[in-house]
Amino acid sequence: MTKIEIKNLNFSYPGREILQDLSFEAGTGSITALIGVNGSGKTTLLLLLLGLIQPDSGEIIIRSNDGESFKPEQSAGKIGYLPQIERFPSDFSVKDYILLGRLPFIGFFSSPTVRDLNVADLLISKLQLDELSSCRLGEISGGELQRVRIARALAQNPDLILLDEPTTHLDISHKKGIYQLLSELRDEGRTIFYSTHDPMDALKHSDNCIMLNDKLPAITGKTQNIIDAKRLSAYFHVETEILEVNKQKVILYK
Amino acid sequence: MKNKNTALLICLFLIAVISAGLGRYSLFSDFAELRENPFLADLILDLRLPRIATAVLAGISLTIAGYVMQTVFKNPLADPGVMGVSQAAGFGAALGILYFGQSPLIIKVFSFGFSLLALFLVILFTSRLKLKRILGLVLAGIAVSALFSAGLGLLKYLADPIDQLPNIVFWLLGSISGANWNSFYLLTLITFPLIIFFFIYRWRLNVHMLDEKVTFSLGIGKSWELNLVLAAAVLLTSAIISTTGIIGWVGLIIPNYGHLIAGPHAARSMVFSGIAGGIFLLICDDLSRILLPGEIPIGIFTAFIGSFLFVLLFWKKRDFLYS
Repeated sequence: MTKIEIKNLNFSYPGREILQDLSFEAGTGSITALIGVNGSGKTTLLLLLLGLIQPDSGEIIIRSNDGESFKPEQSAGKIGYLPQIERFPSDFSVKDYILLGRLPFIGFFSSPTVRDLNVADLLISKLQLDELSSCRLGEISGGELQRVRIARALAQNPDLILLDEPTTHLDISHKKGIYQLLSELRDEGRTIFYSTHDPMDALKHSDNCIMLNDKLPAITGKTQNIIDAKRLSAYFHVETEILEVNKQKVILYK
Repeated sequence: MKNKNTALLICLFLIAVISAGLGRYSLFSDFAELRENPFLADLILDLRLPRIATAVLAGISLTIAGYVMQTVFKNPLADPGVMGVSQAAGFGAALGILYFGQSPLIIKVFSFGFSLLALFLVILFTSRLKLKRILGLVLAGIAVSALFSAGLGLLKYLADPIDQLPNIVFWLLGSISGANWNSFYLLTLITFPLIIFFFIYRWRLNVHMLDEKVTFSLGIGKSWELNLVLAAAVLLTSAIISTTGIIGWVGLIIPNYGHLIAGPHAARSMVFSGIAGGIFLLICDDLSRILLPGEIPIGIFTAFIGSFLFVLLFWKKRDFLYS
């Protein structure tokens, strides 16, 4: 449904270059992991994809299946975004919060219709939030909150979803749950970008990978092809080793 | 929710009827005298009723403006004057009192004009500062507020202490005593469209409680919508305080109680808060005209009662505040 083309992207903050000549393509129904150490530009790249900030040069083009193409800042509500840290009204109920995600479909002077309520209910059951739907956001756990926020983003029915460190504070069972959900969303044909500081997550749960480092040129490609011990050592500044245990790759660092 | 609003509306109506009966001539104790003297009936119809109507309208407007500011600034301690409007209105009024003959109309026009100037300055500063929008608005609001409060201080210092200074002080404490039907109609002309605007916008208002990056992803990144909402809230505030003087606390405390009783969602608690604000200000105005033979500025009562309500509020929310 949506293809993303990043062409020769450059971005710098005053006195500090972040992205240099980054080019990459993500097809419909794919998961791309952005990995790198803190400060390597993962969040910056997500914000560029969202259209909240503009590149110094180069461009990002979003192509939908019907031949339409637009830049991120023209997307008007078609991109779902989960910031790493988000300020939210903590006494709002889960359902009211998810309904706010319907905003792009609700007119300036109207309120949610039965259709919007149905969408919210559907998402609540799809993400197994039934028991939480009337709880306040401030009362639920971190893992539940991530699912609620994903539901809020899905309420927009976005073809492109951007998630900043979606599993950072989660235990392994909730982490697994979130990645399972992301692969289901990919199988529905959505294009997903997420950032993580853990290369193990990328190795296990992504099709493509963009490896970032503010000093080195970005490496992009199929995750299985580009993640190797040598590159990880260089991009994460620690000596790493990749082992295979029970047919699963494991990253070790010394 | 509809029931709560209806109950509160009936409450407001009853208090308004009782208020009409209370005063220097009471409908309850001086009924015979009132029947004999048509002049006294006119007193109620032409002085007391427009005053009650103005108090209710001012209460509703200031509460809604406060509600909007608290939502947009994501801060329950924001009030309608958060963008420097109150100080600017005060400066305008003092200027009118000092140099333009103290006529009520001049004072009104000046305070209204200067509060709009404050809004313009805040939006101008914010668009120049390349900060996060909400943060920029808060900082610009503080700067503009300080600027006009300096000007106001200077005017107070220059004012004639016998003739002008008491008027400035009285104005700054707020009063609805000058209300008549004409001033009320003029006020409705500005406030009604704005109140209706917020009434039909109320569901969408909640979106401003979300993180700025999230609202951007939802397609309202453009600043015009935020500016429109803020300008409408400021206009609502300016219209009221240019007529009544600065009335504090209503817009700060009542929306918090609205949230507490009717829930955090504007679709459910904005109307409730508005009616409650009308009741609150009406009661304060009753006290200010009934308690002593002379007139007591209403701002004294809103602050006095407001301080108790404020303590009660964080007593009720203490678990939440500790956590």
